[in-house]
Amino acid sequence: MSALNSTSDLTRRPPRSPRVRLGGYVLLPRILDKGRASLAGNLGEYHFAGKGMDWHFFNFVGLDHQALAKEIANGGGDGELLAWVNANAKTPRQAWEIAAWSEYHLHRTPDSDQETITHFADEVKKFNPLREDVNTWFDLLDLDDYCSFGGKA
Amino acid sequence: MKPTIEINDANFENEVLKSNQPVLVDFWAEWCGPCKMLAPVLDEIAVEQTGRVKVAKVDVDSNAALAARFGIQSIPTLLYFAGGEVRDKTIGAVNKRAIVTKLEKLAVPA
Repeated sequence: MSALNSTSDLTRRPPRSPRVRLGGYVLLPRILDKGRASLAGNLGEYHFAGKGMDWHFFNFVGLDHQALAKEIANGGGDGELLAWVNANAKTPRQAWEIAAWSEYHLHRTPDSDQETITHFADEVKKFNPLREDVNTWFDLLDLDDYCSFGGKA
Repeated sequence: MKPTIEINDANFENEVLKSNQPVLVDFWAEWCGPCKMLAPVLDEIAVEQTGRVKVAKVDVDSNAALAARFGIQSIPTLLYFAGGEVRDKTIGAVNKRAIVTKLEKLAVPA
């Protein structure tokens, strides 16, 4: 089975959780899943455009999603793609920076402005208004993934 | 107006090394949670210590050379400068009292 086919159908299952790490980076495995799905035409309701949560990764390392998509198209596995990211990052990161960045995103809540906080609360309510435990952006993404494929919140 | 000074490669020497006052330099980044916790504390100190101490901030993403020059391996890192030299250092989101205590020591004449 090729690397492109292994995780490329997001009409059948969600991408990996944003919490899953590759090379210390949270989000990266999820981005790779979405990139593979995009190339395979199986992105479903997901997006692979270097925006939203994904933007934080691309901004952190100094890459754009189109360059990563080209590399994904070569069919490499996670290890090869991590090596490519580290070799081509315009902002090469040290291990402590990656750890701090990942830790920040693991715990990042919608704390920027009232509009964002309201948007976040409305999104959670769509799934279950009782879910006061959903506090971080990663919590919300995981819940969305779960419910998108039949899970009950 | 922000009470702290933004430091970069261009103004580091004048604002920090040649300063007549002790300078507290915070190495931080947008993606650092503890840095965000520390920011309002530093703002308070900057206001309270106006005229006695400068409080400066270095965004490590925009000023990687400065971060490397001072061997920054974790953020937030606070460097306490006086007379153009690093006199003390704290790593992590330390409390206000601890920071002020270190600044008071810097302000004491040798």
